[in-house]
Amino acid sequence: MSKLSDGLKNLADKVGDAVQDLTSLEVTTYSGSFTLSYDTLKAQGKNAFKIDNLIEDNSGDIKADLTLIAYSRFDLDSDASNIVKSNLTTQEQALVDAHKAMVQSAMEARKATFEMITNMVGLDL
Amino acid sequence: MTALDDIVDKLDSQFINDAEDDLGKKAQLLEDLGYLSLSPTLPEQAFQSLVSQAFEDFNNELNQSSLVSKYTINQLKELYPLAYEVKLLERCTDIDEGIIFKKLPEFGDRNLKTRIIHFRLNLLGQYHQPIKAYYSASSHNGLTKAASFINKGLLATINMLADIQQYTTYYLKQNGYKHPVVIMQSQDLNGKDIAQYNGAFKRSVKRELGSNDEVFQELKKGIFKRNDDKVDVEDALSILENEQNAFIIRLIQIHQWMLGFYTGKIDGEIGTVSVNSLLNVISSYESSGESTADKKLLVILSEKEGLLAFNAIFFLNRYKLEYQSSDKTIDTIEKVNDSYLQASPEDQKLFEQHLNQNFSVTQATSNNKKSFLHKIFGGIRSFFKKAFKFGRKIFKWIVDKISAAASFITSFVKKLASFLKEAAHHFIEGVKFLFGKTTIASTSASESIITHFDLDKDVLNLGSSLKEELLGKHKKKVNTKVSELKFSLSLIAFLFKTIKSILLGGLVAWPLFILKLVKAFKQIENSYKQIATT
Repeated sequence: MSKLSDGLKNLADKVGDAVQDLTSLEVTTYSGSFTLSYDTLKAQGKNAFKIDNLIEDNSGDIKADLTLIAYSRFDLDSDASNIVKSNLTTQEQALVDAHKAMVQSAMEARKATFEMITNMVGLDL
Repeated sequence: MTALDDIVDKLDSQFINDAEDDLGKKAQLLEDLGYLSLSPTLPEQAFQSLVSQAFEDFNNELNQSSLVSKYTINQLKELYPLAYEVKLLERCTDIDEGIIFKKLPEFGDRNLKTRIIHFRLNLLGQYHQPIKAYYSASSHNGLTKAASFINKGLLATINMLADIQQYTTYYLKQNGYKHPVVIMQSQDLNGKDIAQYNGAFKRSVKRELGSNDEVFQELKKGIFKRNDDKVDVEDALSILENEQNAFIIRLIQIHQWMLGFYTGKIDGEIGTVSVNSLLNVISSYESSGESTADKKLLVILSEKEGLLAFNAIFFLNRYKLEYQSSDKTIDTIEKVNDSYLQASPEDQKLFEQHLNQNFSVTQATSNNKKSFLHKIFGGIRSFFKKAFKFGRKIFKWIVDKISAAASFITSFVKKLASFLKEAAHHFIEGVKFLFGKTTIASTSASESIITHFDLDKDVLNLGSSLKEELLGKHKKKVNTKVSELKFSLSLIAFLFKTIKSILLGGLVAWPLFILKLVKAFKQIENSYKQIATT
């Protein structure tokens, strides 16, 4: 088996796994001090794909200083839950606004993933 | 390193240029529209800064013009995130699916519209003032002349020049059949494999004229009035002086250039490059299966005078057929794909090797200013309509490195590379998303926000000390990324649909993967176009 064929099969498997992840949608927003900058991101490597999972790698350091501002979860059976921090400061309120926008973006991304899967299996929904 | 890392790595290093903007291409297009005037001796840094300033001037005029809708601009950004600026410039210089105007400019106007009009007329040889000049009597006269060749109004004519194949078809109807034989004069016929005139040329012209027999009867009173092996040189010289003769040469040069066979200056002059390109295209017709031996497309009338006769009606008839055909981009790629699958392992290997060499040359020339020495035809639809007839031969021409088809193959690979660059980018972005590696960051001196997409945990936002301005900027970046993502994921879906059977049956080779990636990109692009028109 060639590396190209192997790689494409890995990707096909990943798409198969994605189906399971479509059952719920979660958006989480934190506020706090963290030192990651875009330069840090870029410095990780020329090829962005090869960057180690930045958030996971640094999650231990980061989360210690973070405050949960908002959390939204939507399930396939239409259940939705939202958690928003109380006594928001002006800056935190701005993050809640960002959170709302990101929920919208997450839904768009989810829709795109769903369409990709239906296209791949030939469903025309 | 995983096998998927390998694919991403190879696509990234081989097909996506480091420079984000194809500087040479941009410079050429900006010069075509009169925003830039460059000297090849200009230092690299000054070159970059001039190109950047010129693009800003172009963009300002574009925004004031409303010639390209916001929808189209956004669509170009989503489809071509890497070469968006080049694509926007190509849209304005396109003579394939170019911009249509609602009305003509007023005298004294000077804006993007007048530049585009001047560019089109200049290409056609009907305007000789600077492209950036005000819309003037010269512009009006040039347009009037171009209109007279097809017997249409001025606005209709300039809009027809947005699709040169359409213009050519109208020209053929109005004037082309009246001038089936073009006379050329070249002092450089030494060593060229061109047959001497004989009666076969005359008969071939008669066949191409079809029902227009009255035209042939007129020719029999003029250039063909002598016996079968001779022509009337005096009459040939008078055809040479006819303005329609020069105009047809120009039109044919444009079509040769669109197909990649002509790489010289489009000036209606017949030099070595023109004669060679005609010989190459004739030879390519021959090897593509259309027998040209009996058609006598180019013959010598008089060596002493350097006189050549060209069976122009043969080409004009074929341009008309190309115009009437549907988009052939995907079909052409499929033909190459089929030839690859049917070839021997040795030929498959040579194809891969030579294709890679061609890609390397394309990459090396696209980012330096030297590449702007030759005008580049950016149109895709016309190119592939023309290229389709060579479809079955393209594979073999690449394998055998056929010299007569070399410039055509360069053009073909350039078109593939322009798709592939964007297709590879979208493929990588799609893979990154599926593997939870899509991160968008916006930072300033004291604020930062990071949004991370993951299929499992979906979206994670981290923000600190955010002000409205950065937040707005960030939301826009995320929206753009998500819009691009839709395209990237659709590309992966199309790719898998087309590659599934090969993948299940065994090994996928790189050339096949590349062709399928390009095909998937074109399919998505077409589906976007359909959405735009429905």
